[in-house]
Amino acid sequence: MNFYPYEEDSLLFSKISARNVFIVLVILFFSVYIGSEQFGYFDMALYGYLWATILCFVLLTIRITSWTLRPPTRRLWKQGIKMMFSAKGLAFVLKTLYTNIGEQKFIRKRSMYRWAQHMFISWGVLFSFAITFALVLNWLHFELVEPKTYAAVVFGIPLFRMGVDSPLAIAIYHGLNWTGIATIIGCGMALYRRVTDEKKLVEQSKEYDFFPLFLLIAISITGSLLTVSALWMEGAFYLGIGLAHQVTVIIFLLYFPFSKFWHLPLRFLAVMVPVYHSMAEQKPCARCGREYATVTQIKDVQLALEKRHLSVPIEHTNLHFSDMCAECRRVSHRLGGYGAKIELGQAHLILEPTGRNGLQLKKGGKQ
Amino acid sequence: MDKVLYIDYERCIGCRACVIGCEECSGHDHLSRMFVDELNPGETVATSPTPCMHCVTPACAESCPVQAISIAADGTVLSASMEKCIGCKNCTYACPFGIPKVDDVKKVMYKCDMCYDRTSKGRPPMCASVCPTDTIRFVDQSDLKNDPPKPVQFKWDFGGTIIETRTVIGLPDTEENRFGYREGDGVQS
Repeated sequence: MNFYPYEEDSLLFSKISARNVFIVLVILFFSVYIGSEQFGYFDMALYGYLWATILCFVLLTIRITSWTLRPPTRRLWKQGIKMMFSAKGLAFVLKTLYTNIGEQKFIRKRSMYRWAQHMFISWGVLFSFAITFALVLNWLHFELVEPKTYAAVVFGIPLFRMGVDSPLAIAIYHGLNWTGIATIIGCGMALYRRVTDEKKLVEQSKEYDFFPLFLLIAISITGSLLTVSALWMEGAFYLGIGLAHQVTVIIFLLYFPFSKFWHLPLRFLAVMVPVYHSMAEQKPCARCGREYATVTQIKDVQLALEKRHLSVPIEHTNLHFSDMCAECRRVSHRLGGYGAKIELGQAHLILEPTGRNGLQLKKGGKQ
Repeated sequence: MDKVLYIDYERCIGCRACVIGCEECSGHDHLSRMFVDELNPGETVATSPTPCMHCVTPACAESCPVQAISIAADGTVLSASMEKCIGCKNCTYACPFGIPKVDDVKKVMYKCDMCYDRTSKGRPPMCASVCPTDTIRFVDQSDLKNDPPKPVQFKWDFGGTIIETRTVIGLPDTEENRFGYREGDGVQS
């Protein structure tokens, strides 16, 4: 295990976290203030959800701060953002945003079934997030402007009007039911796969893989039951169901930054990867000359390893093992084991084993 | 008993049974994580298999921007988690032993996990099970490291950076050309 801190300043994480949390809280406060029209349309029924949401944002900010302080993460974000400043880079990133997060093409390549299940779960959850946060943080509310007409008001700006019984209104009132149904279908498919493919999914665990699915199902079912109670049961058990729904949602919000759901923020970094791979100069292997990476990425990896006290240099040269392609790294170790000389044809160097299982420049080994 | 992979590569005949065996492991999705490299193509027929070295402090995990590579309780360095891996390939470049591979279409990294479904239950990994020449063996870690049958590599000094690996490499005896392992040791795994 590597116990070296990410940065020299041991208080850096605390300081940056405190700053980021402060910024997030200020933005949240003003968004609620503006959205609720100076607290005029504050929905007290969602008070519990509001505090859980604020705490969720705080915890998420701390987790994101910790994550982005890691040398490789910071480096990749910086490179991606830098490339987005060019028109070509920005177009590339927007296209990847659609294929990766919108269409989730990479999951379809893994398996059609997994893609279908993930589309149901991800879009169910993302739309649920959008509706929940908009209502809980009072960014969106409905005003009765005429006896039978609602105006949808977003951040104090009336967007559109609709009849209270119109099909559009019914679709919007039940927005969370539709997303809940999608989530239940997706989670059901995921549970089926996890049980039937148990022998293939050797690393799955009850805590990490099954619990989140049960939690999402619990949230969706309790939420849908609220509608069932209101529409078809004359409001029977409404308070109990409401309380159960609130408890499951609050557990989800507090669990979100530290669980399987954490992969959601990570996917935004994936959007940077194709542009990072394609917009830099290719690098040839120091031994065989095959192009295997980009110059930028090899530098970034060497920098990240250096910060983690894990540099793997070839002694008495300017090279690291990462300056060779994977196959040449494997072969060089074995040739070194035989005590054979290793010719780096592209770098014009001859290496020999150090006697400590590393490699070094052979005396007079410059070609 | 804590067992690890032992690679005595002067025994390798390049049959690639380990590569095929690896594909057949139930958790491997028909993607082989084993390498058999020709060491001097055109000059000699020498080959060597290379599985993951299962470093105590894995450079692949340290270089991963999304912390997708985790280490199991027994020290096995696992393949990247499917939902976290972003296919950036940092791990493939950071690994000093050239092990991780990335599937560019599925956007996921895969590497030897010592057949975690088998080894976590005490069974040998597929490569060790199918190797016809005992090049790859699954043996007790402390015995192998404390009393090796021949000079071995498991502590690597790269210009002052010490990397310790669970996988052990047996070095060829190039002075007396005594082949293989200590007499009396039977075939295991």
